[in-house]
Amino acid sequence: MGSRPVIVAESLTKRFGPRVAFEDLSFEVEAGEVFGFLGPNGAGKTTTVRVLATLLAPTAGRAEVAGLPIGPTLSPRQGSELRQRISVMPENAGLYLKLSVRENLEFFGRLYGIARGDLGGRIAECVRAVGLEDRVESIAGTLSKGLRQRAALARALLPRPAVLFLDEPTSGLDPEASLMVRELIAGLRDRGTAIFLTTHRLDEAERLCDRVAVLKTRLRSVGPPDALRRQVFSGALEIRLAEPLADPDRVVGMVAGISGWQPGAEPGSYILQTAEPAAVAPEVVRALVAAGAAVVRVAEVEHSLEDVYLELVEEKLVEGRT
Amino acid sequence: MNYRVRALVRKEFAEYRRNKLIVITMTALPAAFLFVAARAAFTLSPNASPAVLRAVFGQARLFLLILPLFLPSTIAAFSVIGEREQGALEPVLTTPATDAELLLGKGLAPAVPAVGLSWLLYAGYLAFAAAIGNTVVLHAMATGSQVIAEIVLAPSLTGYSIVTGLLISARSSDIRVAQQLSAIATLPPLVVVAVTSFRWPDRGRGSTSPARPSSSPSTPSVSC
Repeated sequence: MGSRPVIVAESLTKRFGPRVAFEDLSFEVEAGEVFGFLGPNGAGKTTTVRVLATLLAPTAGRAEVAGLPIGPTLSPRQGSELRQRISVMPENAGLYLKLSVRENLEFFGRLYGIARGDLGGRIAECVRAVGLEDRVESIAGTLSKGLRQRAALARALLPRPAVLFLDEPTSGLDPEASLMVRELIAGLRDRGTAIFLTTHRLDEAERLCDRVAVLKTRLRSVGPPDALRRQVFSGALEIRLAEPLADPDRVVGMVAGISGWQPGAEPGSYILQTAEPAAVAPEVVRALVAAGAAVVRVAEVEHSLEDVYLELVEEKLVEGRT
Repeated sequence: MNYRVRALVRKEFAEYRRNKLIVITMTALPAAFLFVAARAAFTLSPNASPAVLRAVFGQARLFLLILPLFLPSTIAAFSVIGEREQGALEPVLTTPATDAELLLGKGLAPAVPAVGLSWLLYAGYLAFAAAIGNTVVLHAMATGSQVIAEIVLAPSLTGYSIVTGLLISARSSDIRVAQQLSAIATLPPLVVVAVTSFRWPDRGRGSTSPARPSSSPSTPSVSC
């Protein structure tokens, strides 16, 4: 990406007494990047956001957010300056339920110091971005969970932050609203906003994130979804034949570039391990045809981010047991 | 007051207006004052004994000081815990507002209506007495010590009430529990205020019309 980092964490650790929330986190997030933060419940995702947003002081390590260092040495003035450059949308919408959406946004706009003359226009822009124009005068307590979530997102957009922390932004949203939020996030990325996205929706992370980090108290891995896939899973070809092979070892086991094979889920299907699936596929087909097999399908095995995630988290669980 | 504190106070006022408990507390207490204390004082016989005067005006003084003590405790108890129950505390804490600004805003918001209402009622009480020429009320209530009590004691009681209310609210997990504990916390100063209100020496007696010199030689003093 080549842009300047707006979040830098080096060996960042947070403990609550003897309990470790997270430890030894080191990563960078650049301007205009969507950074997915994945992990099971209790992995330390929300605590990481709270530390980066200056709500909690780290126990050890250092971090910089929007150009300012966080930690116990942060003065109230520096803390205020840092929070002026960021915005957080927590998982719970956290609206004032007796106030209207507009009153909620006006209040937050004033806290961010948005000039009175600009505030009305800014609110209109944000509610339009989340598709809430017709409910702006509604009392927040009367809105459904999904609409509250959208109002909270509008509130997070209000200060036009350099870094936007989104905690499960599409939780409780219908598919249409989720799509709108994803488009909104993509638009923010294009405008240079760094987005720190914690989510359990791995399909969403896969579609949106430039890079993802898998956390379970410690960082298991960081990188673009494709790179993680390659890191976790070796390449493989899946073949499906009309009839099972009498002696698969003699047919596919002899093809150069195939390091091993195993039966697939269905009779007549096989998974072949190879570092270069695309390169060996023609040779495999030739060998199968030569052996008289009726080839139904040959495809490269694709692993979803969910597979990668589960693999990484499982590894951790196995490590934990041993 | 900077713009963030102003924003917080405005937001708190908007929430108060829509909270039935706060609205009832803010209207019921002044209404009770108007009904009980004012009725007793304005229907007072010109020949009432010093003991009756002390009882009637003691009640009026007590109401005027209960207001800045009790009203903010109800509101302040709601303040932090209400925010926490709605989940709104975290979004506010991630804004540029500093802890000091948040505390100042949270503290000022209940103080303004509590002290303001107390002063308004006191001024209205005296203005009405002056308008109908009730010198009994004016002699008893328009004293330097009572004015000082309103200017100094009322805000001090409010301050106490807000600080204890906020502390209790920050430590509680239920609004009702917080409000009950805050009400209990107002008891010690309430006892002091009650005792001093009824022991307050009367400057003298007047009449509903026309004014006549006081027959009671006692001198007013602030005894609290």
